[in-house]
Amino acid sequence: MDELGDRTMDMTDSASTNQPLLEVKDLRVVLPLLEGNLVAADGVSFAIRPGRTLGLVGESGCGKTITAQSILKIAPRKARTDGRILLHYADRPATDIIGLGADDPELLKIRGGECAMIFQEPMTSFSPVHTIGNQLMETILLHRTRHRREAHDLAVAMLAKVGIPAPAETLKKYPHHLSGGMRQRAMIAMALASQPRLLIADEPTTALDVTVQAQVLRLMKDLQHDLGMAILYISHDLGVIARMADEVAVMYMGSIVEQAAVRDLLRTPMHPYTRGLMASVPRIGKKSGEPLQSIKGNVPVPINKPRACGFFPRCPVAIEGVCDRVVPPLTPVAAGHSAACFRYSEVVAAAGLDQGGANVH
Amino acid sequence: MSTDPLLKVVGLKKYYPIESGPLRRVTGHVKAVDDVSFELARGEVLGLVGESGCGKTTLGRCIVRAIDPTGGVAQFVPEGGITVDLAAAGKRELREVRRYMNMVFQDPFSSLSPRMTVREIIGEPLRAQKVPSHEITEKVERIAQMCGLNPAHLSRYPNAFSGGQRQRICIARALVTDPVLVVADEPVSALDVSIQAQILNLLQRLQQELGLSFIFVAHDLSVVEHIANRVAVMYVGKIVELSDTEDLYARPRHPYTEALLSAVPQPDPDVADETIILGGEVASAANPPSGCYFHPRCRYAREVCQSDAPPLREVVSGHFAACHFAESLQLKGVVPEPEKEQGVP
Repeated sequence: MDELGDRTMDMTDSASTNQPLLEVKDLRVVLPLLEGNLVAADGVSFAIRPGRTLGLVGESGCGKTITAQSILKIAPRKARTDGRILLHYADRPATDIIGLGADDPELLKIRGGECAMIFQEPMTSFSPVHTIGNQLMETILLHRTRHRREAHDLAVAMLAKVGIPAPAETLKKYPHHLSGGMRQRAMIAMALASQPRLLIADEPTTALDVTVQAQVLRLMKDLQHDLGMAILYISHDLGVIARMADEVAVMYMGSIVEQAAVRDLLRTPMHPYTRGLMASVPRIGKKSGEPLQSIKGNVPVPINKPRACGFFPRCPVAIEGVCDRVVPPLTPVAAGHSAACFRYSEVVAAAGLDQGGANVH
Repeated sequence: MSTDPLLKVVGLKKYYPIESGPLRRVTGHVKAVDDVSFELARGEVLGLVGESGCGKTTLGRCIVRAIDPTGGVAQFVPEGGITVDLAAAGKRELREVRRYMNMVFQDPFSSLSPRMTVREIIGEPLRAQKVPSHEITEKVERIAQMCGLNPAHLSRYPNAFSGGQRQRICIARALVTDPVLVVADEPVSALDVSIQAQILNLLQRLQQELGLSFIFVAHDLSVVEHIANRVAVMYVGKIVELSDTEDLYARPRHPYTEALLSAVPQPDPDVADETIILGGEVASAANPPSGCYFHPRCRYAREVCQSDAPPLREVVSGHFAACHFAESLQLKGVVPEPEKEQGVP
């Protein structure tokens, strides 16, 4: 499937104290479809430090989910993956997950153990023919304990922790007995049951109500505080990201277009897409009566993606002849802040002068 | 424009029986909508918010009679001279007023038939009204254009369209009969953020241009604040607070509303996280707690809340709340300082 078997071990990183837990380097995922090659991820690079949270923001089809799937090697089988995904250890060299074989015992230990994932779809992530307890205990028995009694108690405790009422009875239920919200909580319990070092959360609270979302976000923060796990938090909701993430990467058409500390990104977004995204969400407590600023056009599908800035067709400040010919590289624009845009300085300047008219050109 | 409300709902109920045992005896009821009353003025946008299972969708569906309510009255006056009780109307009566009301659903993928062209989909309500076909064609094209669809694309099937465009098709279908009342059930929840704004702007523009009344069902409080004139907050089948949008967001009168507002994550790093984390679960509509349904989760609850259910009452002019302590509690909203003095008791 992939021709990178020789990259299993990577010795380049010495054991520094500030070593990242996970490094994604130049990840490229191509899905060959009938219509052409869908470039789901195009040169994605980021690092996550232990105990920190990286927010991955973007709309549907931007490649955030496939990036997460690549970390666990659960991307669609026909996907062609390139690049490196390094999982670092304190006491041994890093593992390149992309180089691992499908049935490598190392991979089985990583997947669901060291790196657990919470999925977007609570409906499809559980098996309908096994009880919640069976599925939850499977993870626990695989990664934490061999004693069924103990696993059962842990499962009950985990369900209680994610706010499921009557957890002992819930263990005997099947997924269809639970509401969508309850199912999502059970899944969060399942992911956290293995006490992962890295939790990949793919829109985990999108299906939840705000008050429940608040509970779950706080729960995840508390657990992160207790266990020191890192979180890769995928969301389209900048509000949730503001609450959860330390650092944010904004994705569009398979590429990271902007990356910064959460504060910097929300205060001074530099990429026109990030700015557009922020202007298009209504803010609570800020009713203006004016129409929202929207980004024109539709979210494109990156099939046979041209060598150009992916945002070019929708960008209010695009330069004809430049942005449609050259891919703007992700370059540092301020301390700890990178953006992939040729016009970021003008975007920032224009926005500083005129908030409302920044998108009209 | 008359001063009569377009819709006057009094004591609307929708109960689902709970059957158990081998004989499927009815042993209780899920009170999905329980004694709900409100009025909707012409040209008004009423936001209906609450968490999943609170009955907001059921209420919306009862009003357009997608489902039959168990009891209550929903007096609908679409035009001078026509008055219908939507809660009790029979088939024939309903058929006559169907064209005055319509619905937009949440998921633009499952609410469009994949076997019909967009032209057929949008024209379907007119065909149901037995409108002559040449009029249908003309009407469909006009409404499609208003909704931002290219008339040249009308012979395509829904799969050729993106989520945002599909929602435009759903909106066009809802508006093709020139309704006066549109129930929009989470119309932007399934859309991408950058597309949400387009659809919200479209709905707002159409609402203003056509003078429509909206019942806008949503869980996203920022979206509701943006679009609604008034907001009703539901909890376990009942309206617990109903007020002008500005008042409600500046000075909520029900502890549940306060908690809801505080829980909305804001994309602003300088806003301190002051979320009120509600303990426990949304109460079950099949087996609600005694007294005030919210009391087990309420941080202000006192003894009386366990025994007596507070009725929805007017606390200050135009601001209704169902809380024993609506006057005395100083609840925190999300709008920093209201310009109006109205909020101070």
